[in-house]
Amino acid sequence: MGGRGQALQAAPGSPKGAGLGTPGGDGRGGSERGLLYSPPKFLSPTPGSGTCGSGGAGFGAPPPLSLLMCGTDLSPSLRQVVWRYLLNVYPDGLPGQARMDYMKRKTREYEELKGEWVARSSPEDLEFIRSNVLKDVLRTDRTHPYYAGSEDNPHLMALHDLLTTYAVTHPQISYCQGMSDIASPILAVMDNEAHAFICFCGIMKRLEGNFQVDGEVMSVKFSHLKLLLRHSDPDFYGYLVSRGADDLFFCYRWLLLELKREFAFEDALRMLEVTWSSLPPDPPEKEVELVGPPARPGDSSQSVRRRHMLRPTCSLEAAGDQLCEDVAEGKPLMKRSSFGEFKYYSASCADDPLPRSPGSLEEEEDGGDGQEQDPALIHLPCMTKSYSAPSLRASSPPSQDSASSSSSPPGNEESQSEEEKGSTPAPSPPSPSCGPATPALISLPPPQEFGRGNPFMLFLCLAILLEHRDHIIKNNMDYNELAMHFDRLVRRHNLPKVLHRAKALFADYLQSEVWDSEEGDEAAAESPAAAAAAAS
Amino acid sequence: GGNKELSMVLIGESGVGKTNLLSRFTRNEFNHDSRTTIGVEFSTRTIMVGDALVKAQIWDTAGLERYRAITSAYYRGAVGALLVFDITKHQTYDVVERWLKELYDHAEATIIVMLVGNKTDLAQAREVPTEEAKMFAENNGMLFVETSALDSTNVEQAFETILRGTGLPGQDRVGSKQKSPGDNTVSLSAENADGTSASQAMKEKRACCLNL
Repeated sequence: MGGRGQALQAAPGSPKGAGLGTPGGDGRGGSERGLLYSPPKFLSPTPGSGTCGSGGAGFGAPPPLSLLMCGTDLSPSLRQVVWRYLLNVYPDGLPGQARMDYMKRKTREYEELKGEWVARSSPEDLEFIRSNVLKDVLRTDRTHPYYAGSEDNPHLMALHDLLTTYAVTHPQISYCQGMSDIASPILAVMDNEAHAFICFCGIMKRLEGNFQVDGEVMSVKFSHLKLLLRHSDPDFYGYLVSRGADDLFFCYRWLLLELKREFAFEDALRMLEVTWSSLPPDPPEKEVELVGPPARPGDSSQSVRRRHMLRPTCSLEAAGDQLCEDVAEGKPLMKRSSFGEFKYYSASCADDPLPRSPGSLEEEEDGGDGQEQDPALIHLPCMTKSYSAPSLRASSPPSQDSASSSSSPPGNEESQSEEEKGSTPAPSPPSPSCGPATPALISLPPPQEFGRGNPFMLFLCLAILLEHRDHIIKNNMDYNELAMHFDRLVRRHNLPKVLHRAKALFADYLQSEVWDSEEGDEAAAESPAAAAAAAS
Repeated sequence: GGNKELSMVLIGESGVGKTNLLSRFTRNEFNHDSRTTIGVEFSTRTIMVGDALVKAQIWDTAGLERYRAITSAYYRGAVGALLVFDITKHQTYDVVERWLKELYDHAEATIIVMLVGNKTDLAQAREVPTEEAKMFAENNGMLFVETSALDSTNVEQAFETILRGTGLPGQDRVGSKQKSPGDNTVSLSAENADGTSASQAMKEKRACCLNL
């Protein structure tokens, strides 16, 4: 790590004299993440939770879930910068001035691509794409001031152009409903069409599977959420089975849009960045690709349009069963290079000193207007020891009850309040000593596989489900009532509660290591959490 | 009379107004800012059919949806479907046949389908002639009606015709294998040659339907 310390020095050429604290530029993913600013806050746990930084046995380093996960709010201008990191726009190790040049160059690249719509697609396809995009843009977040007003609001045109350019330059994915929901917060935050496009390419690298025609990725996500719920709350899961609702179809929008629509706009921004900050960094090796692979050989221009009507070959139920088997057999469901580096993150965090020289996060390339936050608050980089979580207990419990106890930590506020409410006599899963329910010792996939690239999102979903499980059971809701119940909660979920709960559940999952995958076992064995468990 | 639960689906291209048709029927609301439907959302409304309460569960599906495993899963239990197009966008009408095939591939054979030309409030921008759509519906064993979710025209009728057709005591087509949807729909349409055959047929028997 010799290069690292030096790289932390001010980036030469940066107008404000200090780089973003870039590491050695060795191309290793993850070093330029963490976005740790305001160290005192870093150390303070989420009020009352004990999940963000309470004494983790065996942890020399501060809690790994970055500050974003611990309740720190970002100013709008800081958010612009932070999101570019979280969305893996910057290659690793790029000093300040280079980042500015990089964004300028990518902006030009975008402007060129935007001029190539006609060259890159047939008139029919382009018309089809544009009309579909426009239909959705005109009804995406229109109540938010940024997109409100008449239909000639320039932000609507920017969103349309961005999505159309993406569809045209990514013929294998094209445009699909839901993408406008993904792009909308990014554009609103960036307030710059080209930058938003670049970020959108960054996030779509991770999310494009959600929109693939075969539906395979979504099937895996469903099966993982199902596994997680079964693992965490067998009683509630049993209830859903009894109502035929264990397909969890009512969670489709949650999984597709990573819960973007389930929270009010501002809450969604926060939820998104917390989620992104929980992921291991996946910076582009050289630069973020703005153009996807060409259409597959068999694809006629006609089929671009026809594809919208295609049915995925893999039916949900069949896929789910198969996947469950795969999980049980420990087959890795996914290989993702970024997660292959999980071990690296875990191992290297320990020797990665956290406090950094202040970086020059302020005004990178926008021609500074001086509105960015005090750069001294920003310390970059620090590894987010992604997928490592602070221990919630001083010592790990014996392995035999690890599955049941892992569902929720003792002392979890919500679980207590639930018990106080006493709305259901059924043993509540958070209680480690629940008697009658046979503890379902279901192994979960390891973090690098769980949720196909976003395990924390599964825990957000789980937290939402658990928030409502008592109400659902008490009212004996059937399949449809359940779906309607959650439909009514669109944009209304209580973010602090859900986040708090999800973080506790996620932390506990990382601690419990009830992972069932060879890959995962290896990763676990090298993780500090495992070391802590072994030591106790 | 006893209570019944019936489920029906709204299908058709993106942006034709499915969600607003549903909200008009179940909540008497029209939302200019309604969002794209992702996956399946739904509402219920209980209506009186004869002496029976019928709770209608109406699934609103995404019009542009790659993960059709979801939407098609809801076709299975549906007794009726509104196949919606936008009279001001011919493209949404052109693909009706594909939607119909999608439906018949995955729904019960007895499902009653009504072709719905929505947005009659935008008559000046009409691209699909009433007669053309009506003819198509008749030839394909569908009921037909034109609606406006904006000004409420025929919305109640569209939903209630389906629900009444499937929910009337002694006229129980649910699960019936003897009648094909074509049998009853064509005859219904043939009785009324005015472009709103279903709603007209509906009105004639309206006395038996009370909204709760």
